[in-house]
Amino acid sequence: MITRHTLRDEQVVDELLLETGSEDAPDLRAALLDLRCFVASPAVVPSAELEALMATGPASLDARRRRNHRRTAFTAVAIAASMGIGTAAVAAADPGFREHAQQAFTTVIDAVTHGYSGKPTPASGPGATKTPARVPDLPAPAQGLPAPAQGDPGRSGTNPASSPVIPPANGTANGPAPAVPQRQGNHPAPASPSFKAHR
Amino acid sequence: MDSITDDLVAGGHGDCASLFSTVYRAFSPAVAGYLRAGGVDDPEGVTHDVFLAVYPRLTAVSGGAKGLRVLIFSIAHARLVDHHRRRSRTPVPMEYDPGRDDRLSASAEDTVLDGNAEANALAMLEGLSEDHREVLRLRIIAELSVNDVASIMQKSPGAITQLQHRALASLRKLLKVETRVAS
Repeated sequence: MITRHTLRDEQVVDELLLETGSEDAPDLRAALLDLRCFVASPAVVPSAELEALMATGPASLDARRRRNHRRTAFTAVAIAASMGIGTAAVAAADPGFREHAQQAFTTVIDAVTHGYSGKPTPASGPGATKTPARVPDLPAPAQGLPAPAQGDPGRSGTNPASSPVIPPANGTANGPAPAVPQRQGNHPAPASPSFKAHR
Repeated sequence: MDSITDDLVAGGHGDCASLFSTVYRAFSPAVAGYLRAGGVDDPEGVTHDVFLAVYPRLTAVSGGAKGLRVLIFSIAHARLVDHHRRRSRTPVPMEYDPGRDDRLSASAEDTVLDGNAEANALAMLEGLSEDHREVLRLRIIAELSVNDVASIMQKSPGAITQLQHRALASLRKLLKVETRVAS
C-alpha cells in the first residue's frame, strides 16, 4: 500500500527532526511519516447527541433546561396533590381516623401551648357531663373539714367579701352538685387553703 | 484543520452550534487517529465523549485556533489516560480469535513488507515506553508544540525536550535492529 504524504505532514515531521538534530535520518523520517498517517483517519460519524448539539444553539439548550425545570416542578406539585387527595379519601372513609387525628392534633396543640389551647378536654365516657376547662381557684371544701378562716394569711391581699360563694360539695342544696374540678393537662392540682391552714 | 482560524474561534462565540459543527468536522479525524494510535478499543465512541466535553467550553476558549487545539487534545489525552487506567484495573475478557492473536502475527519484517503505514507505526510505538509514545503522538498527530505538550503531560518543557530526544534515539535503535534482521 502506497501512502501519500501531504506537505503539511512533511513539515510537521521535519520540524521535530530539526528540533532534535535528527534531520539526517531518512529511516526515522519515514517512521514518523507513518505515524502521521493517523491524522488522515476516516471521518467519525457524530452520535445523535452530538448531532443535536450541532443543530441547536446554546439558546435552545437553555430552553430545554428550562423545560426540564418546569417539568420537575409540575411533577412535584402533582405528587403532593395526589398524596393530599389520598389522605382526604382515607379520612372520609374511616371515622376512627378522624377521631384519632383530632385527638392527635389536640394533644400536640396542648403540648405546644401548655394546655392553654382553649379547647375543652374530651369527655372520658359517653355519659359524662362536660366540665369547664378552667379550674376554679378555690375548690369546694371537703365535708368534715373546717371552712377556711376569714383573713387567711396564706391568701393575703384577697378581699373576703369578693371571694366566690362556694356551694357545699355534698350536694345537699336544691341545685345540682357542681362538677368536681378535674386536673387538666400539665396544671398542678390547686392547693386547698383549708388543708394549708391545718399544716 | 486549516478551516479553523483565530477569527472563526473568536467570532463563533455567538453561534456556538455552527462553530461546534466546524470544529467537529475539522478535528474529529485527528482525535480518532490519536486515540487509535494510543490503543483505545473504541476510538469513535471516545471521540464522541471528547467532543461532548469540548462543547460546554467552546465559548470560553482563549488563544484562538491554537488554544482550541490544545483544549481538544488535552481532553483527548485525559480520556486516553483514563482508558488505560481502567483497562489495567479490569481486563476485558475476550473470546480467543486466532486471527487477532498478536503473537501469531507478523514479525517486524512481515509488518514492513505488508506496507500498512498505520500498522508499521503501531509496531514501531510498541517498542517505546509510554511517555515516549505519548510525546510522539502529541507532537506528530496532534501537532502541538513542546510547551503545549508540557502543559498537557504536566511536565516541564525541558523534560519534554529530553523525552522526545530519547524517544527518537530509541526509535532509531529499533529501526536499526529491524533493518539488520531484515537483511
